[in-house]
Amino acid sequence: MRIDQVLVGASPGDAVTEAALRTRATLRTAVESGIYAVHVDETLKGEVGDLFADFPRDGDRGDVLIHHVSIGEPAVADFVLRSPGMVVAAYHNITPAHFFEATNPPFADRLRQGRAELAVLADRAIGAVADSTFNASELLAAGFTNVEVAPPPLNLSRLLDARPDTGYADSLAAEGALVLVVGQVLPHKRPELAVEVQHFLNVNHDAAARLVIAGSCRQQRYAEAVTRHVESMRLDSVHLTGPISDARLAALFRRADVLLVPSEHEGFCVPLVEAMLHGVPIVARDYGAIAETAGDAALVLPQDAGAPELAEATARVIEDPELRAAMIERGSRRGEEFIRDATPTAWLEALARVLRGGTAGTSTQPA
Amino acid sequence: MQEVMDAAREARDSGVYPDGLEEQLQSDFARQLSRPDPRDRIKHLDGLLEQLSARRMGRAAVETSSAIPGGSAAHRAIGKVVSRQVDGVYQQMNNFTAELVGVLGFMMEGLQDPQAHVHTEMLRELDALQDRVAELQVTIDSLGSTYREATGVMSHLLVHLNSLDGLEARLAALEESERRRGFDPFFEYGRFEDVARGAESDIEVEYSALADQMAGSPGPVLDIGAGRGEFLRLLQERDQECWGLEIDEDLVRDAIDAGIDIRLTDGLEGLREQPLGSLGGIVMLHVVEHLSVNELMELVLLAYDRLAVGGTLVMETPNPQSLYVFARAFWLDPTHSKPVHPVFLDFLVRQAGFSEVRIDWTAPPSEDEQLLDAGHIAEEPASRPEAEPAADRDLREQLAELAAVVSANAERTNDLVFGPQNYRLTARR
Repeated sequence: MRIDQVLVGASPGDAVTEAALRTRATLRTAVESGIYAVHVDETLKGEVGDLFADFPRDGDRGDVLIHHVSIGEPAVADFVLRSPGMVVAAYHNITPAHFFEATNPPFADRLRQGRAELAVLADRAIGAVADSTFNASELLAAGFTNVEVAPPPLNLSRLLDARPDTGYADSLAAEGALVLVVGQVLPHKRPELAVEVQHFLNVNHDAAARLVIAGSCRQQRYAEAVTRHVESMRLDSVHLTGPISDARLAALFRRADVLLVPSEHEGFCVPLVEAMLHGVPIVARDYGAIAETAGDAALVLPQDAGAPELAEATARVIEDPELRAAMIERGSRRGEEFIRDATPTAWLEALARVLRGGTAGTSTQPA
Repeated sequence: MQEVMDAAREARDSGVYPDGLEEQLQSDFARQLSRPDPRDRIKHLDGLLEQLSARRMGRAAVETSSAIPGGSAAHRAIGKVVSRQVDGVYQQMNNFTAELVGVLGFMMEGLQDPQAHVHTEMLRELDALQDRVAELQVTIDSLGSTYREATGVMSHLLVHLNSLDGLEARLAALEESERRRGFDPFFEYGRFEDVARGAESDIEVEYSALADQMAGSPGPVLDIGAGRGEFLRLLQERDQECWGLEIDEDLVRDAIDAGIDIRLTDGLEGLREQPLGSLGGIVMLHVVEHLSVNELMELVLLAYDRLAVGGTLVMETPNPQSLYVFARAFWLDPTHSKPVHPVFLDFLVRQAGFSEVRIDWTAPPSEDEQLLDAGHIAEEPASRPEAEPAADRDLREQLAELAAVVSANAERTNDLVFGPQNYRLTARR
């Protein structure tokens, strides 16, 4: 028996790739296990095989194929549907296409394709493991029936053990409060809203506060619009880091006074957990899995909270020492839960429950 | 949580978060997304130029490693044999690159000059140059891999160098035509304005009602193309905070001497520098007819961004629906670009997001210049002889009929030929 994992793309630092690698390390203590992808970054060749060239051809019905789903790719979907073994989807969420319609139509098409593939996969897979109950509800809506929830296996020590580049953090915010946004500069993450919050924060609460948006800018057009937005508002208190090293991100987390999450769609939201473990209070809105991941550790405002509300909450978290202390305390407790639960072992236990709940080739209700 | 939301609501109600500012910021971002800045392209080209100037060809850049045993040595040996020719080629390539960088740098300067238009032909030339550079790269690549056909490469390079001569001549012609497009009079333009637009006192009479209307705007009023500052003076007299932009140095100097706040800046640039939502009003009196259609569109969008909610945009321009305007006034000013039709201007400002758009017709030609009305002939005489002969009555009735037609025609012609000389569009943000 083999348990293999299939990804669309594998690149270093990518959360899905990291989770797959950690899961494989645990799997290999018991069974044969590999990771295969269509697009494999040069640095991972050897670790991750080419799906079409390297996948073992002598598979049988007892094998398990874990299909990591986060975007559409017809070649992968087709491969998975034809494979002889039991298929389990690992669902990391597919961002709704409408966020990208205006700025990147081809990418929006791939996201739509992903949702369509999900519905087909529902018939073929025996079940799925979802990162959050929010993701699970999407799977149920897509036709899955045998769904377990487990947080993705997180590499939390990556930042906690990194030697922080404090000089970098000081160069961005020598003094004053530091509001941190962590995530790629993409439409559904709404970085421009953070910029607007910063405007209100500077004008109405704290002129010295600085905003750092830490994350790569893979869609240049969008990132440029955000930069121009900052320029047109004449804000010199905002900095976009672009791609960032662990040492620098660790320094920013240690220096930050609040993590602002303006995002409108999250399937899990790893930065929440990272903030909790760095003692950084969180201000967010109730979208996707945010409230679920944050637990009681964040100020989660309703969806219709706009820039003024987020600015008000951010200012309060910065200025009110009692509130800060309580949030940091709750965050630390919630963070510990993830250190305990967001592990390959816990994830594989969920996989085992899925396998017990279904039979190959059909989808059934859990026992 | 509720407490935070309540505090925010309270702050909103008390005006801490100005009404509409949030929506304004959002619409600004939407515009940033949908309207890529042409300056980005120049920035990109600038980056390419930097790369190009950093790159120098040399023998060290040529790959000599080989997977074949002894291959590297063979490469080096062959390299020695042809080294003289190859060095000559490198020398020429380096010369070519240096010249290319010079030409590109010159073009970049032209593109970045705020006074110059981003000339589409110049951009096209740049594209062609990029193609040639790409072609050169292919040549270099083939040289790196084979060392062969050095003479072929040389002739290739000569073609590049010759085409550079043609390009420089073309650029010189473009520069010259660009210079001719601009208006650079040898006389003082302000004096011409005295002739063309009338004395300052006349203008003050013409615009005092508009000044009354703009007084009490929800922020400072910006007069773009403020000329001699007559309108700003009217606003000052009404205690309305205001300032102006003007590109004519002499006019600006005179206005400053007269204690009026006018800054020497191009309207588009000056407006772009203003913070969002910071202006209570924007006035452009006889400005839009000086602009290209692209500049006009840009200006209207910027005006919308920079006006506060409730702020007013006023644009007055010659009325192209009046033929009189073309015969008498429009081409009197050599800096006029083209007339702007009121229907287009109305459409444009609505598309930009303005509302309460209104058009007023101003400055009708004087009546003694218009066609005379013959309508009174058609009117019934006040008293008529008791026994009017039938022939007389017929004649009188025919005459009245004719007079009615002449009168109607005169009215139509007056409308077309002697329509109001200007129109003034007012719109609210």
